[in-house]
Amino acid sequence: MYLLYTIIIPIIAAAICAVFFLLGRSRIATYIAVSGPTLSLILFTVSWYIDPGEFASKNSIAHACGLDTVALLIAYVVLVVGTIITWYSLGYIKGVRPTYYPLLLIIISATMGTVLSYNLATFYLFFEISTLAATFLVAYRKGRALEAATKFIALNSIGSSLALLGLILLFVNSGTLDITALGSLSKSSAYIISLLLFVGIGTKIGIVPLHAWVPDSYSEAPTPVSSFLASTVKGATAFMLIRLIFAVNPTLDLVLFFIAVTAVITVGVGALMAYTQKDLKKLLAYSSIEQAGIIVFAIGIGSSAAVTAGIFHIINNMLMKTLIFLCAGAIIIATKERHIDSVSGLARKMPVVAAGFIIGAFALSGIPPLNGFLSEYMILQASFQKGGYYPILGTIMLVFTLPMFAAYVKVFQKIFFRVDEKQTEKEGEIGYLTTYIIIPIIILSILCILLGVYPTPVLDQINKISLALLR
Amino acid sequence: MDQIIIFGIFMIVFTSLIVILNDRLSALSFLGLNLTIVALLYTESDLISAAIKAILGFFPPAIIVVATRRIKLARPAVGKAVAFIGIAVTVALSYAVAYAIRGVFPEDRLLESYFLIILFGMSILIIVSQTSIFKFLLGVLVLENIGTLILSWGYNSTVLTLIEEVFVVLIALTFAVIALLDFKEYATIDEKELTRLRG
Repeated sequence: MYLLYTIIIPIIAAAICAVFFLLGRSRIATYIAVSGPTLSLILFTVSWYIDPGEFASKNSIAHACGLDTVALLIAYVVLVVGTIITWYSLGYIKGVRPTYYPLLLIIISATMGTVLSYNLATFYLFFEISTLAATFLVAYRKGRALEAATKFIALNSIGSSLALLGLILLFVNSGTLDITALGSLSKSSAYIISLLLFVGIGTKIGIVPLHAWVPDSYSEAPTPVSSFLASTVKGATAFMLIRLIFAVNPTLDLVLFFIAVTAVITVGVGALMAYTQKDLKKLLAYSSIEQAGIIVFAIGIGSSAAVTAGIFHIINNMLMKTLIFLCAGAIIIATKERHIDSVSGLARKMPVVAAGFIIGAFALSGIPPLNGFLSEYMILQASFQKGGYYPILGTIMLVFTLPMFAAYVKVFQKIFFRVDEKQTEKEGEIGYLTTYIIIPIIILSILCILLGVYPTPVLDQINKISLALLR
Repeated sequence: MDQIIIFGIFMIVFTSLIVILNDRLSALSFLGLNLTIVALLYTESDLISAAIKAILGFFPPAIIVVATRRIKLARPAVGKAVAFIGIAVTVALSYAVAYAIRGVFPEDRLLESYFLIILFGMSILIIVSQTSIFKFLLGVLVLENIGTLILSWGYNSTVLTLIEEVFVVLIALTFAVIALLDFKEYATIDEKELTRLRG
């Protein structure tokens, strides 16, 4: 029951916030907006800590079958990130328009709902709500953002329709809407359904060649929105893809191989395109395509170890991708520049942001002892354990990630350490960063290190679901 | 069986008109498609779904018609001759694909399945052959209609049908708002003419 409240509270806050904005009380509206997810997070934490059994069993959304704890864990990370970016928005968005916070709160709730859905209908409901809310958030800045939003809605609604067809066929073939009760399907039906789900849901994850909306949307949306879309919405959608694909039939070797090959291509395209970018946010957008490829590669391997690694990487990606986007946002708001060559020597002026950026970049590149290292290593290991063509694909994927690492090093060197005579004059113009911007960066940096050095509690929970999914 | 063929032919004709006509008239063709589906659901005795479709199915074409009154219509991306050839090739290819995978279809819904695959092919044709934002939308809505038709095959799925139809309206509304904003900013809703960000 409490879990339902944690989804509803941000929606109620969104409604109240919208009313206050309409009444012209934007300051009060803003504080109501941040209190929504914060209250929800407190309720989630307290009720889960006090009585986890009661919390998970009494709610009407999460369900038994070994899926609960990981779904709850991912929903919790979604809420943590959602709360962080709502607070961050206080420092980032100046002269906020009435639509921003209500839509942000709706998308946070919808993403939580997507993760916790055990029913095909509620999954589709939340999946669509988050797509529609995201469209208006991408279009928030108008101008070029409108074209990005057009691409976003055009491609994502095609993806949603294909996913809907997959879900309906799944329902028609199994006779139930309950994801946990889907029976095994005939091989031919399973092929069609899993391909529809992969293409449909994969569009929202940003797999190649359905990624065209990603660079535009992530670079044109306000940074807190970009970070939420790139980390949590993508992660939650990938988690549901795992649940649905393996609910259809976990032994579809041909489909899994197709998914793995697509994933490796996605990693390659994302990393190579990122290396060529001069725009900081576009670079991060392409890096999120690369990360999507790594997650999807774990699905393509299809073993229990790979699914564990994939889900762990989803959680890690939510944290490290948000961290690096928020650092980029801090750079943009302080310097009013997003072109990599236009800023330099920021390490001395912005040490916390520099530290956060290097932690995020190293975590995303899989450098030990950060969280990204462990999950990426586990995915690679699973590919070698699987045998067949998978070790080759794993090796290719590893090679493809190198340009991404090079891109991060290049950006870090240019933005934080390069000494540029012309830029030095502009250093005095660097804006002051509020605690709303600094504290989220510190929290996420700590979480990235913590999950890297002590991942056991999280991994234990994920292991259970992986075995349940592939039973 | 004759009934299914007649409904199927009507659906193909209406989707073909979406390819050929301008945005406003295409919206009316889509209304025709929706009415055909309502009639089909009625004959399937799926009265609740028919009622849902009859009520909510009116909104997307109405939204498009209202929106297109406020903007300059995008020109059809292809000429009529090319469109006719495209339609003929799509129908033939879709039929060939349906024939090749007929083993997957439920035996009691073989004919309907053929028409659904052709409808799927037509929706893809609409999406890939057009540059207007509204044509994209109509292609997506035809895809969603395939879902409605599958749900009518005797399953207790009112909830899913209702959710789907509500979202069809919301998707249409979102597209319309974005199209109006695009037109205000760029004076066009033609994807080719919109500023390219080189994604």
